[in-house]
Amino acid sequence: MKLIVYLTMIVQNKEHRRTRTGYGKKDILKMFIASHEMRTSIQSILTYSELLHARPENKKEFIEAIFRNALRLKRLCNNLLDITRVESQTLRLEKVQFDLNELISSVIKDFRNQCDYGGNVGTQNVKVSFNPSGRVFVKADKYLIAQVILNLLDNAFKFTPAGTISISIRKKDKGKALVKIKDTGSGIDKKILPKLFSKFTTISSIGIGLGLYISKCVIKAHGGMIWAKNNPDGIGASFTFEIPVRD
Amino acid sequence: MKKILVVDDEPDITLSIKNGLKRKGFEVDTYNDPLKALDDFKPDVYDLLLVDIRMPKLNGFELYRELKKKSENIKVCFFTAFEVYYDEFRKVFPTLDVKCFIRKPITINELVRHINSELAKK
Repeated sequence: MKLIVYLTMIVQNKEHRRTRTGYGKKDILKMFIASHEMRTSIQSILTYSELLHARPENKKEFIEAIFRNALRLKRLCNNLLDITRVESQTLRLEKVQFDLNELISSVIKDFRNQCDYGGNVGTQNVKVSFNPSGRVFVKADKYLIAQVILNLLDNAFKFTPAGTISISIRKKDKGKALVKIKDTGSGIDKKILPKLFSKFTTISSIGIGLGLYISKCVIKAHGGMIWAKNNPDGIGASFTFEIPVRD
Repeated sequence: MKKILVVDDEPDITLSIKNGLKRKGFEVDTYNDPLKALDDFKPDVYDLLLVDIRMPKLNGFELYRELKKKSENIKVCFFTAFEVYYDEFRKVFPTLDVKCFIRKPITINELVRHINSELAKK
């Protein structure tokens, strides 16, 4: 508890010192949390690079660790850029028509490639199940919808040390497509469930809790909805979003 | 040979720091779970603790406080990615007499300099 008091004090004092610069408390907290995540990843990249230089015989292990942490930095950069766009209201949707089944298959493939290259530790005991049938065309921002799927997949992996993540797509009445990502992991902590899609909400020590917030903003910008709940059988959680099929 | 206990919840950090410090002639034990580190801790084994601050279950300050009960004179350096302001730290933790804060990221050579400097203190 005292750690939180200490961090709050730093943020308050920094805010006092920087009042004239125009930074608010939320901005400072954002910088504070993001800088912690950056420094942690850079520490690993730095030390593994030094080790690689000194002990090239362990090349594979060290390069994988460098890749893993560079990827973590890349995700952080993307999230910070996206959140800046959302908050400055400069998020512009570049809508094109595409097949959701095809996009999800491609996101899963990219994610698996990263895992094979050491990008995501501890994912070897998790099976991803996705059986696309037919085509589900939507008109949406392909890049941003891929980001949402990646965020949800990443989140499911984080809380599923072993088991299955299944993805399904369903066409609903009134021209909407529904995408569900269901896992058999530890489920959503009841304490954070009400504010799950708010900024900086996380109980994981990896990441800064922006992925779900950004996902909500992207889906809302498309005129859709996103929600999450623990599975009725008590095993794992399901994250679902729906977006209009047409503009 | 000086023996260091490294506690950090990030496996990439503990593994790389362990490798780096071993190359510099230290003996190193690592833990990713602070509660396990506390359970296994035996007095008079380690010359210095290198402890992360932000960890689940038990943060670095709490861990140090518990370890001090087992080994009163143990030396500690907090190894953290947080910005640490000593004045503010003292206000919240007036009874924690710690002055060694090492900020990530840092090279192994710099880390070794900090550790040696702390070990040289009486």
